[in-house]
Amino acid sequence: MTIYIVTTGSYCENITDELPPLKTLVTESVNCSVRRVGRFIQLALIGAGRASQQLSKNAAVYFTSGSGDMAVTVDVLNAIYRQGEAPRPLSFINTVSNASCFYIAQSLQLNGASNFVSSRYFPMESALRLALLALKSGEQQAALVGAVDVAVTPLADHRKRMGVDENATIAEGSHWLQLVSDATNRDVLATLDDVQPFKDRAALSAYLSELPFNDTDYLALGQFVAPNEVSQWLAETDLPQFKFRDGVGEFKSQAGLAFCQFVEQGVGRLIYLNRDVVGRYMLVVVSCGAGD
Amino acid sequence: MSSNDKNHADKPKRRAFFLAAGIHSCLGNGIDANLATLQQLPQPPALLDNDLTDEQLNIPYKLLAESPLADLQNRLYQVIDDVLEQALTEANLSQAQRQAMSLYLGSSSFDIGINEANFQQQLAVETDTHKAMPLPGPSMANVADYIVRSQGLRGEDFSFNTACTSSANALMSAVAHVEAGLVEHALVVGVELYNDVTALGFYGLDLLTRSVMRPFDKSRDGLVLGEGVSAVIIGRAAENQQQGFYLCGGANLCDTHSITMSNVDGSGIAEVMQLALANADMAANAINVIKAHGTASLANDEAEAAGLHRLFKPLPKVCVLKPFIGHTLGACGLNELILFYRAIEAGFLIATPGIGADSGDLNVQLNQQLSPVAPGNFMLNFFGFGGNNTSLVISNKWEAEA
Repeated sequence: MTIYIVTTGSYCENITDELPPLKTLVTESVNCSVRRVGRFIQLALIGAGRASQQLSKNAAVYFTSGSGDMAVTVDVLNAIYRQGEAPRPLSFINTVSNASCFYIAQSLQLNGASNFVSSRYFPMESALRLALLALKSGEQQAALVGAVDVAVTPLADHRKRMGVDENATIAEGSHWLQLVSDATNRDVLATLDDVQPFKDRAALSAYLSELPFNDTDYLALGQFVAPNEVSQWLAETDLPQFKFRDGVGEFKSQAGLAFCQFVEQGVGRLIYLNRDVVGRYMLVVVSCGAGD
Repeated sequence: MSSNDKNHADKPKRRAFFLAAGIHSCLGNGIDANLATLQQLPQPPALLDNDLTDEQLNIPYKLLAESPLADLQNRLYQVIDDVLEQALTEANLSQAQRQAMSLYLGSSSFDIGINEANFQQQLAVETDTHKAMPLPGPSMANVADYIVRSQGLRGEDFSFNTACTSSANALMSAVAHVEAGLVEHALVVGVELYNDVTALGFYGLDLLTRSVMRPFDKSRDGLVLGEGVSAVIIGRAAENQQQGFYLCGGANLCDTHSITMSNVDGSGIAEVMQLALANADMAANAINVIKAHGTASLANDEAEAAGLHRLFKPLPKVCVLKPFIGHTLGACGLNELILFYRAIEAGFLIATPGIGADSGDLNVQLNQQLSPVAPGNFMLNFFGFGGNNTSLVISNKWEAEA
């Protein structure tokens, strides 16, 4: 069964000093004003709203994040231990990550399944993995899959939390794909061909050696692939690199950026791979032009 | 056999079964200890002193039976190690099978208690030049990451955070992956331990009672928070070796009526139960017992009761677990599943004598007597903040048909 990518929705901004306001973008994206929500939920609404054209009411939401709603959790912890205040009810409820799913469903008038799921090194990849199986099995017919990561001031603390250099550029990202199993009357941007885990490098290498490549294939290396490993994979596959991180600041769910950028570019097939610190790998394959 | 049951039996035979389990709750550490205490009357919670805010609070909580609330930086992982070992020992998997497992973890709070303890420790020695920083390594997957490393897992890991449905949703994904052949065995884990954010958050919502929870009872007056960590190993049985319990259907829907509760008319809850039945290829009358979510809060029980009455005419037997173990939030999906099905395997249906003993204002009577349960089909409901509603249908009918 073929799974189609029919829309994308992106927001990605480097943060230089102050966090840019998002309220207007939220209203533009979901066509309504959403009050009393924090920055994390605002980012989710912007990306999800931008990917929501012709979205089925029954679409499932698969939402992920590398760090979750850090902003609200940091506020709540500071309130308890520095100010001696119990968390305000809405702040407490919003510490549960699927509060964002609620606002997405409410704003986009959805009543399908919703999941907030993460994996430390493969957040977007894992959300896509669940969505792909649900669509292929027929359990779902449409899915909105997205990843959000938010920046929290002071940025010096944020950099420490991210584990990046004190001068590193920080970014916020919200990247979403709308997937459907039946693309009748839809403009197809791409197909999601594969999302597959590998237990180690050898297993991925063996798989790639059997995968026929063509002239319009690109290789993208995820953000957790070590710099010295990038050249090894490029040599091993002999594919041109799809560089999606140039000029983009640090945030933890950059896989979403790769997929949205590639689909928006609209040409060829993307072989994306990422790894974690124990040496497990994840492969995602996206093909553009499938609907031509 | 009804026509619905026949359709059910005609489905593909290589189902994913609940092969083994482990649990540590306020009732005890280990399956046997939990089942023994489950046959006694539910007990009131402990009252925990909390002086973090201006008000001196006593917050009702059901704490783990065999792990004192101390050494919070290590307690979580010690309990997880122990519970995993219970399940893995019972599953009797080879080392290679263990390592190939994928992990599906559900929690509302993950390692927030560890973050709280670390932050407090930093604050105690904070200076103008060395400020304490909350949440130094934010990730919902920190706990999963620990399990992956400590168990040497090479499969995938997924951390679900959908409030009180987290581990139920984790279970559904695990079963789907095993049945699809994506993984041979799945390790499903539910985790919920004491933390100040949860305790103070629920206190602030005014949802807590200081006595035993009384779901669906006319004197219900709120919930008690509970600790619980549990694990289930899911695996496919070989042809002609079907045995025990398995998930035969389930559904999850987002109800946008309110971020804190379902519509009291029961429409949202009826819809997810109906979808779970459809997913299991069953009619409502094929369900023998319902394990209700039963938070004992006024509106949530009203919504669940209304949903049940929309779908089931008459209601089958209804039972609840929360009076015994408290509301274990993101872990309740797995904690309650394990206690429910293992109690049936041990020969009894959960009973809450004196709680929900008559139909009351909601017209839901809870099972009052411990009694054996014939093999059948069972619905388990879980509803959470954010409108996340999940209903599971499990069965042990293969046992009877083998």
